[in-house]
Amino acid sequence: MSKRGGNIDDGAAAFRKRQKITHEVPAGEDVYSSDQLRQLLSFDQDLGRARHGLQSFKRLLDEIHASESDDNDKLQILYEYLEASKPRQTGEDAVFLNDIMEMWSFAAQVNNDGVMSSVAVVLALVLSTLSGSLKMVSHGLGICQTLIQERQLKSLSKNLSVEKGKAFIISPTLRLLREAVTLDGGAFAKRIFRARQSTFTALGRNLEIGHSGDGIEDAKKTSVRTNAVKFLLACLKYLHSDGRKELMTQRELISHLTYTIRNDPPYLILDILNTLQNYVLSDDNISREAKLRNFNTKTLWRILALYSYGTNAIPQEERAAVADKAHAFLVYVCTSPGAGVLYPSTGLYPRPLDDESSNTRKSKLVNLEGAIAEDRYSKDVPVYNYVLSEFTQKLRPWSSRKHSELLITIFNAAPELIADFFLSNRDFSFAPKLSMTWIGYAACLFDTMQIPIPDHFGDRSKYSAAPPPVSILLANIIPLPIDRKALIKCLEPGSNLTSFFATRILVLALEKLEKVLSMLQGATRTSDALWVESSKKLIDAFCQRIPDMKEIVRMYRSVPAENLLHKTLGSRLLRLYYEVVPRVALAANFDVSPLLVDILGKLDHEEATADAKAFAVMELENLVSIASHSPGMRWFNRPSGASTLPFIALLQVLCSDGQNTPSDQIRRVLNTIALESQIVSKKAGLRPLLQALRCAVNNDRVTDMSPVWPFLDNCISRCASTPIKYLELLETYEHDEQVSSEEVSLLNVTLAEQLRFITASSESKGKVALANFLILFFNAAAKSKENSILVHAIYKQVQGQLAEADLESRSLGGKADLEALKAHKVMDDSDSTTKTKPITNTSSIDASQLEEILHIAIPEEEDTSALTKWTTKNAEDLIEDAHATKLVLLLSSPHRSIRKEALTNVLKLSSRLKESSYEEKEQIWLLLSELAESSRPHVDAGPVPSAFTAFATHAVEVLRNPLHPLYPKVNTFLTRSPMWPADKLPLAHDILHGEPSEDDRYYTEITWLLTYLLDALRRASDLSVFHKKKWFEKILVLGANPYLRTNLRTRILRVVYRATCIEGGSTTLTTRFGIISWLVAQRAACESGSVE
Amino acid sequence: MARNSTDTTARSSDPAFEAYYLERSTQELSEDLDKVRNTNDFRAESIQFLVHALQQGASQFSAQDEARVMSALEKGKKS
Repeated sequence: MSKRGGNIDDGAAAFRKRQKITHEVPAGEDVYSSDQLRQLLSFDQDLGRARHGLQSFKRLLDEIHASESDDNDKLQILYEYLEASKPRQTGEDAVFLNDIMEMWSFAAQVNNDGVMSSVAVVLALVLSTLSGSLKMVSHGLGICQTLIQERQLKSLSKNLSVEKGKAFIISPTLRLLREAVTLDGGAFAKRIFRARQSTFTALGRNLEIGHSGDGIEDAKKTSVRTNAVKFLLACLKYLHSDGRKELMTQRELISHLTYTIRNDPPYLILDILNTLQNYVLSDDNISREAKLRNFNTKTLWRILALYSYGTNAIPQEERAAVADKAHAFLVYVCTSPGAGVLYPSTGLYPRPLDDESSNTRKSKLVNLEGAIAEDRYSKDVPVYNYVLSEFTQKLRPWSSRKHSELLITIFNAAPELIADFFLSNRDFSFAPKLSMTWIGYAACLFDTMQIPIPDHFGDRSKYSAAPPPVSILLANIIPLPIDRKALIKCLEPGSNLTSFFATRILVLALEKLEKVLSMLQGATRTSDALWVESSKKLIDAFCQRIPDMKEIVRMYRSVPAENLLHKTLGSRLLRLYYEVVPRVALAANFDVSPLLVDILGKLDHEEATADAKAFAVMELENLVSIASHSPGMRWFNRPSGASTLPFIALLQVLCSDGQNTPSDQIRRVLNTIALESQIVSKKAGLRPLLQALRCAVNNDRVTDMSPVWPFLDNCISRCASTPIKYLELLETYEHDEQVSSEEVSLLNVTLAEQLRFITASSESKGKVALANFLILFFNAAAKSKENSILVHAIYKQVQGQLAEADLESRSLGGKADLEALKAHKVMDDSDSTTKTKPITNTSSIDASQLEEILHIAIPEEEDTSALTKWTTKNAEDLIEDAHATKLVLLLSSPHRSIRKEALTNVLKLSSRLKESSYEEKEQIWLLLSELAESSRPHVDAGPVPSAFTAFATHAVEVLRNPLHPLYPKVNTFLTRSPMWPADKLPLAHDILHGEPSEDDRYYTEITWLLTYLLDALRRASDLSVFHKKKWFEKILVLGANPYLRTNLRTRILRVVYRATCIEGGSTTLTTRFGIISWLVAQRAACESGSVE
Repeated sequence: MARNSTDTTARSSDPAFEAYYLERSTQELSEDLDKVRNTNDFRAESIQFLVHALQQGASQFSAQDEARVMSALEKGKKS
């Protein structure tokens, strides 16, 4: 160590040396004339004197700078000096300030630090002074020209590359270069940059010689880094595009620039970021590659670190300014395609692997088995924006608002990163915790989910040949961390906060799913199996991620009534379950009527605040909508604890507060229900009743509504429960008047018929009000689209009864009554009813689309591997992963040996199950054993009846789930029938003709039955079972139900279609079951709109 | 509740409704929010984040529903 050269500059020695030199700086003398200055600056090999001269010059320049006026004496001295020392020739070789330049060169040769430093200081000051004076700027340009001559370039290079401890040399040199670059609008910038071999000497190193002391850098004693940064930024600002482009090819320059950016003073950081943004990133001439090379993940991370910039030594507002600028900068970099980092990607389609172009995507996807294609993206999604993908991994959106904002902005610009980010961030769980971190995460997830799905899923102009992978679609609808387990925990009643956030997220997810499904099922894509399959898979996968309906119901019930937002949102969630994922909603036994009663009570409650009432109306709308979706809703039965029918209660709401507040939606639902129950006619709907009621509420003649509502309640209840009685009554009117019954409401008849019980009673109270209401009602009916002759005929009876009871009985058409009614006209529903009606107009579907809907192919291929695969699985997997089902299906194989093998294996499997600890083992064992015993006689002869295998496979699904509505029926059947006759369809009769196990489960059971029947119809032998036992007849009768939902109707049509695919099927249907006339009737009903 | 079933983009809400939503949600969740305020990860800058987290849900209400609530409140004030 003792042999170290004198130039080595670390440790205490370097510190001492610097100190020494600093102290030796001579003061110089005052300058009074240009001649004096010339003498002082004349070249002298005595560098001590030279230094004295330079210091004197510096004193002069400092004085000029300190003085505010332009035309002071000192400036004149400088001007005279420059004029005097000006070279005679002005070519490229002319040397300005020759004496100084010579001194500098000499000092550089002999390593005189003092002079090397002083020359740079003085020249920088001269240029800075000259740049402000138009008169002298030509001298400045001359000096710049001189600087890029070889001798000076050497001196510059020498100055810049001295040991890094000699900041007193490097800093002024960098200042000098900056002044030279900026002089006269950057006249010399290009040439200085061209000479970069010298002018950029050690720039990378110099950019990293930062401020060494504690605290913030003194603005007057700037570090080498600060000066280097300023020089580099000046180059960026004053160079033209080509120059900048070349500058960006300098290796690692931006890396050196940003390496220690965290320690820079605020003003410098702002300058760096502004310059990079304005002069590099927004310059379109600089190539994307060059930008990307410089603004790589590391650079972006360094700028990200500025979000938490500074210590308490820096004022808060300055720290905030830096953080804000860094944020704005990153937002710009990450979201502007021109900035080079963001790759304009193709939305939700993952980047094809190297051997795969987007044109081959479809064939690849089709060829790959669905599961494999999906699995490919379950761990990792190839993305175009790999830099951003890597960058986002450092973001902590749960703990910083800015990080969260940035992430969402990036997601918006590159939606492909949504799936990618959450796949790579799997460790961060959504499990609820009452903490700011959890809230932050939930907020970030919410924001993510609010990002719309790009048009055409991101393909540029139109829908691509194939949809994006389901796992990626799902990740965009409901990000990966949001899983069923976490959501259930969130919804637990312990915390309102987590429950509220989870509810909001679920609402958002369902709404987004609805939107995605509508994109997948767009008009042109319904005929493409790939798109249809994709939407099915998406729904399946989505349903796996959300809590069961019962959890939502529990949440809804547990929300305190005073939590208006939460309660309203909860009801909306319930409604969305019914609308978007009905299969999940209908699986729960949810009775909405008591909730309706509660909410109606809330609306009636006089002390409720205005906002509470507004939210209650929204909640009511949701519940009414749910009720209209629930098959078990009893509109005309009084729920326990309620005084009126739900139907009447809603009518009261509709009439309570003007026409506008409660929505049209409730009115539409009531109208549909009234139509379905035949209370009102198709022509007029509920309008006359509503009009009369609204008018009555505000009418002077109907002073009291209290007798009207119970009367109406009674009439509607009777009309709905015994329509036949009133239809017959109506027929007597028709007979008299010779018109069709379709044209008048049954309610009119009921009111007329029930009135006599009121008029006959001795109580006179309220009779007048009721009579006036009836007059209004019949006036409204007569003025509606109903048959006015019939209305008059019915009213005649009413009039008679009123007269008998000594009540006023005006004729219809009284001016006052009509005027009063006019004020309460109810909007025509005809346009809205068409909206709610599902489109089943077959003429709008072409043959191929129809085939797509109705044709469910019979699987031809057999999976014989099922014979061996099951042996290695445990009991639970046998059932859950459908190994047992696959084995059962082999009983229908056309090959005898396979059937025999399958039979043996079914028996083995069932006995293995019985010995296992599987929960439902007994029943499934019984099912499989019965199947085996019933099949045994058939195995040798041919495939066992498809009804057996179909029943067995569908029954397994039921037995797995004790909450399934068919669970009791299947179990009863299995206990009762050890052997199944080959000419019957197991259990089918019990379902179609027996009572449903739960009241509102009839349609669920029928859905199951129709799926099972479809699978039971595969061969001619199956057809004969359907034929002989008249199953076609039963199915066609079922199809005649006018209120059957489209879904069930489609299932019936599928069975019919399947029959036509089997040899002899069409003939049987035509000759034995009158299928042609059935189809004609169906079409007629469909066109008249009497079926859904 | 009327809602636009296909549009899930963040709709900008009426500022008055946003303010109401924030106030209302703070009130409904007050008990839990107190607990959150006492956790270790709650810092001064968290307030801004919390406000955002609470308020973001306002966009889930349709313009029509917002108007309903606001006009009901107006009416309530007058009477």
